[in-house]
This record gives sequence, C-alpha cells and structure tokens, in this order.
Amino acid sequence: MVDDAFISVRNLSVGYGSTEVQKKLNFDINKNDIFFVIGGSGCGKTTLLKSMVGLLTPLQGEVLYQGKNFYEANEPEQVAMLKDWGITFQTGALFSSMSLGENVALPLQLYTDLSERQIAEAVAYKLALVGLAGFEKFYPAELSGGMHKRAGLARALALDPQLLFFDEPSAGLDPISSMRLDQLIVQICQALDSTVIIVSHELPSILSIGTRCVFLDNETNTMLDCGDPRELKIHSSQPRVRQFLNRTEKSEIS
Amino acid sequence: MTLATFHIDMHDDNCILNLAGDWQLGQAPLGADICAELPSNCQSITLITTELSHWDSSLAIALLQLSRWCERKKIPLDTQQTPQGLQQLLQLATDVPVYQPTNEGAIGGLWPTLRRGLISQGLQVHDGLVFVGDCTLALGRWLGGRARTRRSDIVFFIEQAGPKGLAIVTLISLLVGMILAYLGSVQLRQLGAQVYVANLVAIGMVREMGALMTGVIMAGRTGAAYAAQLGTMQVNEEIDALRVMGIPTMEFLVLPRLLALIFIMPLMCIYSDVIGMIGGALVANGMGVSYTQYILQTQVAIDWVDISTGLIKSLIFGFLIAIAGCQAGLLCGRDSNAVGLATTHAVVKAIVFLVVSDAALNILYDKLGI
Ligand SMILES: Nc1ncnc2c1ncn2[C@@H]1O[C@H](COP(=O)(O)OP(=O)(O)OP(=O)(O)O)[C@@H](O)[C@H]1O
Ligand SMILES: [Mg+2]
Repeated sequence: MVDDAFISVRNLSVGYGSTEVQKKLNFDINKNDIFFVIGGSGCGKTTLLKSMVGLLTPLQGEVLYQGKNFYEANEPEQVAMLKDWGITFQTGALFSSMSLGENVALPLQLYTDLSERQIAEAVAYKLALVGLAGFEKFYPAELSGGMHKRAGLARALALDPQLLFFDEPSAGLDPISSMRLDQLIVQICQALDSTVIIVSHELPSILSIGTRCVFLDNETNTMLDCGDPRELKIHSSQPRVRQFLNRTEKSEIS
Repeated sequence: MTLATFHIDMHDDNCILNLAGDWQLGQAPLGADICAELPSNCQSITLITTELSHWDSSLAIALLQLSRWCERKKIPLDTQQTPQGLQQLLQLATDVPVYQPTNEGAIGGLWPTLRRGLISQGLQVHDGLVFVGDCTLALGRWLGGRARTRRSDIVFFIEQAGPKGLAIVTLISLLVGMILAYLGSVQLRQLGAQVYVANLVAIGMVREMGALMTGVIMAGRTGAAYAAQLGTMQVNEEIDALRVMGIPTMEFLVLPRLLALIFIMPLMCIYSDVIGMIGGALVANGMGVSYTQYILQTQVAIDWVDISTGLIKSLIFGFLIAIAGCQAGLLCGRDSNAVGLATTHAVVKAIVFLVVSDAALNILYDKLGI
C-alpha cells in the first residue's frame, strides 16, 4: 500500500455502539477513481459510507484523506473538507420544506458569494444534468422516488465537489436514466477531476465504469477482496466475490 | 490566473464566440450576459476555445443558457471546437427537454380567491364533522368488540398521557389552587369570612379549573404529541402503508389515543381537584384558617353533583383534545413544515374547543339548575 493514496482506509472497524458491522477494512482509493463498494444487502455499506463522511465515528482505525483524518481535524478543517465533498443518501434526504431549486441552491448560498442570478443559472444547469430541467419550483413531495434520487444528486453536485459519495444512486431509476447517470459520473471524474465512491448493486455499471471496488462480506463481517471489478470477476481468489460479480448461484462456482 | 472573458466576432451572419481565460465559478460571465451581447442578426454561432485555459462547471453553466437561447431562436450552435468533456457535459444537460408545466395554477382576483377561501373553510368544517362522526362510529365498534385496535397500544398511550404527565399537572394545579385562595381571601377578609376561602377553592377547582387546567396541559402535551406522531407517519408514508394493508387508520391509530385520553382525563381531573384544594388549604392556613376547619368547610361546600359536572367536562375535553390532535396529524402535508403546522393547529384547535365547550356546558348546567 502506498501512503500517498488519495484516500486510505486503515484497519477500520465500523458499527453502532458495541456491534461491529464491518471490521479490519484496509484499502486505498486513488484520485479520479470510480470506486464501488459492493456486497449483499445489510452487510454494512451504508455504515461504512457514514463513517467515511463523518457521520459515524469509527470504532477503530482511521480513514485518511490525503493524510488527514476527518475525526481528528479541528472544526474549520472539517468544514473545508466537507465543502469539497458531495454526498447523496440512500433515500434522497431532500429538505422537504424547500423546493428543488432551493435545495440545490442551499450549498451555493451558504458556501459561495455568488449572486442570485449566478445561483439561478447554476441551479438550472445542475438540474438539467440529472434530467430535471424545469423542475425548480417543485417540492420533494410532488416528485417520484427516482426523481428524489436525481435531485439529491444535483444537490450533491452543486459545489463541484472533489470527492463524491453516492449511496445507491441508481436504485429506483429506469435503465436509460441509470445509463445517463453512469455517463454523468464518468464525465464528472474526467472533466471536473473528481473522485467518486459509490455504493451500488448495479452490475452493469460496476463492470462498465468502475475502476476499483471493495467487496464487503455479510458472513465474516470484513472485506473479502479489493481491486478492478473486471479483474475480480474472473480472477478473484474469493468464490463469493466471483459469484456476486457473475450473478451466479453458490453451487455453480466451486 | 487570467480573467474569464468572451469575445464576439461577426463573419457575415455567423457569430464566432471566443471563450478565453480561466473560467471559475463566481468569476465567470453569466450565460444571460453572453446572450444579451449577441447581435440580433446572427444566424449561427460557432464556439472557439483556443485561448481557454482552465475551466470548471461555470463554463458548462453559461453554455447551457446559451444553448437554450439558441434553441428558442432556432439558431444552430456549433460546439465542435470546444473540449470533449465540455461537449459531453452539455450533451447530458440538454438531452432531456425542459419540463413545461401544463396548468398555470389557480386564477387570481378578489372574487375567485374569496370563493376558494370560503369553500375551503366550509370543507374544513365538513371534514371536522365527518371525522367526529367516524370517530364515534369507531368507538361504537370498539364497544361492540369489533374494532381492530391493539390493547397494547391503548396501554402505551395511557401511560404516556397519565403517569408521565403527573408532575406538570401537580405543579399547575397546586398553583391554581393557591391563586384561587389568594384571590378570594383578599375579598373575604374584608367581611371577616376567610373560612369561605375553602368553598371558593373547592367549587372553583371541582366545577371549573380542575378540568380546564388539565385540559390545557393535555392539549399542549398529549394533543400536540399525537399530531406530531401522526404527521410524521404521514410524511414517511406509514399511513399509506396501513391503508393499503386494509387497516382502518381510525381504529388502529385514532382509537387507542382517543380511548387513552377519555380514560385518563377524568382521573387527572380528580387528581387536579385534590391538589388544587391542598394548595388552597396551604394559603388559607397562612391566613389563620386551620386545616380541620378547611376540610369541614370543603365537605359542606361541594357534593357529588359538583364533582360529576367537572368529570363530565373532563370527559368531553379528553374527546375533543384527541380529536383535534389526531385530525391535525392525519391531515398533515408531506413535508417537515407541515408537521410543525399540524402540531400548532392541534394545540390551537384544542384550546378553542376547550373554551367554547366549557362555556356551552356552563350554560347548560345553569339551565338545568345543577
Ligand atoms: N442506526 C443503527 N443502529 C444499529 N444498527 C444499525 C443501524 N443502522 C444499520 N444498522 C445495522 O447495521 C447493519 C448494516 O446496515 P447498512 O445500512 O450499513 O447496510 P447496507 O449494506 O447499506 O445494506 P443495503 O444494501 O440494504 O442498503 C445492518 O445489520 C443493520 O441492522
Ligand atoms: Mg445501504
């Protein structure tokens, strides 16, 4: 493991109270990676993500962002780090009392000194990117589940973050929107020089756009393998990882 | 860092738009400004970015506005000579058309607004009455043993409303009793009739203040909680889930809360009466009325009729508070603001109901001569 990795996860244990959901996690994420966190439902992917973005103190170990640990940083440093991050939640987590336009505008209003007109144009653009052009005046309650997801994405993208965390962004999207989302993620990484960490079950996206992935296991409560998903699909030493990536029954892989 | 600029060159009808410098969010020209500078006679636009150094989404933001402007004017926009990444981001932003709302919202004007307001007020009263009716029917089904109400829920809500609310009821009742005693003693002392403070406090607490004060406390404590609980369930689509399971919300959600309050309110009322009289005794004692005297005087002052008038009030108050809270919660909108509004409505409505029904009952008691 190299120490100049963009993000390095060192001997990390995450969980709630005294229950360890995942333990002994060790992996690196490079700049411009599209990094997937995969594993069965309930294995602790969201929990890992929460620990990485500062919502849940790890039980043990640390996550280093360019050598800096979020939980040990002082408050101004933490705010500076958070400003560079964009995060979407599994359920959308839009502010229900604000319209979509206001939701996306909020980070711009709080963190930048853009004028009203500049913000309005930026909001129009971010919403257009996720296919919601013209929905500025709508309230979350008036939207479909998939639209919630996409609006959450637009809000996460508002500040052109360097690091993006997506929790199952394509769950609940139709195949076309889901493909647009993949393209969007690739474009953001290339054109805007970002790094993306995605929790997802979407095999086609994992295999087509993922540069690296880590597999979290339900049974042993730790990671089984980490690497390029296309490689792991064929060459992983762990049958369960191959099984997941090939979408086969247990018995078919020996 | 060089400033982000744009430069327009006309070649016949074709407009060459040269985007140059460092395009950074906050320092870059707006799309609308670029569009405003474009001459009206241009028939096509070609973008060139040979002098562009660094760029972020501010460039894509401006170009989206430009491309929409071109679309409206039906002018072709040539982006072939811009960076690949920019072209693709622009493509992603434009391949879903802008949503056009179909209806233009409600019509303004004084009369239509007034009419809508009146209709919605009327509907509210209607909905309220329907709700009370539904509740009563559900109560009837419960008495007949046919309602889908879980006993554990009733017990839970009784515990929430009763034992957990005792402390505040104790404090308020004690103070109200003392206030009544002070109020009366100032007048009665002039006549040398301090001992009648006991009558005043006993009648005041039992017939009026016991029920009213517990009602106000319950409205703020329990009624508001009901509205917030049901409102949050509405926001989380839990109520929809119950509906599609075929479980009537009235029996499953409203009835346990209603029953708990109807059961608890009279008990709380009696408790409050007693505590209020203790408060009165403390004050009277300070003015030279002994405790024995006070107790004897109290026994003379009130009878079972007085006590039951208070109990009937508290029963009705319990019903009204539960109705106000549950109805506000079930009618809650789907956002976090709506939950706040529902809670406010529940408390305000409950207090209005309390005072109005209290007045009505007093008039009724007077006519009946009790
Ligand atoms: N707030 C919490 N307190 C205690 N345990 C929790 C909490 N949230 C989740 N868990 C437990 O942690 C485990 C992992 O949950 P997590 O949400 O991380 O799963 P996941 O991998 O994201 O699953 P999915 O793919 O279904 O979203 C689960 O067993 C869950 O029961
Ligand atoms: Mg999850």
